[in-house]
Amino acid sequence: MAETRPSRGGLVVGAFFIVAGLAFLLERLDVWELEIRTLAPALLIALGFIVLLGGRSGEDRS
Amino acid sequence: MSTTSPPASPLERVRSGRLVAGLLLVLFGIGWLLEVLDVIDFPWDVLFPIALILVGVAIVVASRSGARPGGLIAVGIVLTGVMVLGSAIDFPLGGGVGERLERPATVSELRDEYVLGIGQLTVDLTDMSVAALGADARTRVRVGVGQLVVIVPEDLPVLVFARATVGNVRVFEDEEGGFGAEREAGPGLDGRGPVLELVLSVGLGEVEVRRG
Repeated sequence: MAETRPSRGGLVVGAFFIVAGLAFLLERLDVWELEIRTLAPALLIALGFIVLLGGRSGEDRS
Repeated sequence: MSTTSPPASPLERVRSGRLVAGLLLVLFGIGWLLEVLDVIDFPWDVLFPIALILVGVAIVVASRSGARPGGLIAVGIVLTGVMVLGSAIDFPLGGGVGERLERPATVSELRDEYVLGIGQLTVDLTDMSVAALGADARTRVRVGVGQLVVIVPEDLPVLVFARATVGNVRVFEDEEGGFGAEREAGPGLDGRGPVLELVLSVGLGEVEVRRG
């Protein structure tokens, strides 16, 4: 029976959503304040990581 | 070295996704129903990030079993977009929609916070006198998209901090527009005696403070 590899891209995306959810939750609870000038580059960095790790995950499979 | 796990059955592959999607639908439905029935003010502000965390956990679980959580990723992207937009324009999720008038006459009637999602919120303080103020007081008023109007009696000393992420701010005769428009105004008296502090914000729209 064939075995299934964990999807690294999926793990990264899931982890990103968990971290983003926690960040937004803390903001809504007034623990800290998210500003668009810091939020936009942070999202860009996260997107870059997802693309990089997703790409590596694709190379691993090939 | 790569880690492998037994292949997920088709049933297992859809189970986590359906579980989270179903859970979210039930949760949002209950919240909506309770609000419609005026039972509680459902805390949408914290529910959205919690939903995003749940989606993230489900994606991690699904990915570890080799499943493709495409639908969940789409839900996560939509939730993230809503949250980013909400934070960017200071949109109070679940603040409601429409036209609202608040007329507190005493400090005890004055709430710590007034919130409206979309629409026009007017806080009319003309019934509140200096005597009614008694001691220093503070209230915060937030509107996501729309207009926020605060009417202050001539003799009531107020300290105003007003901000519009995108839009226009007019505090008495002082006006500013554009991105991140902010205006402040002091009590305008000798600084003694009780002062009402007004912290006002609109994500997209207009803030107006006037004497009335």
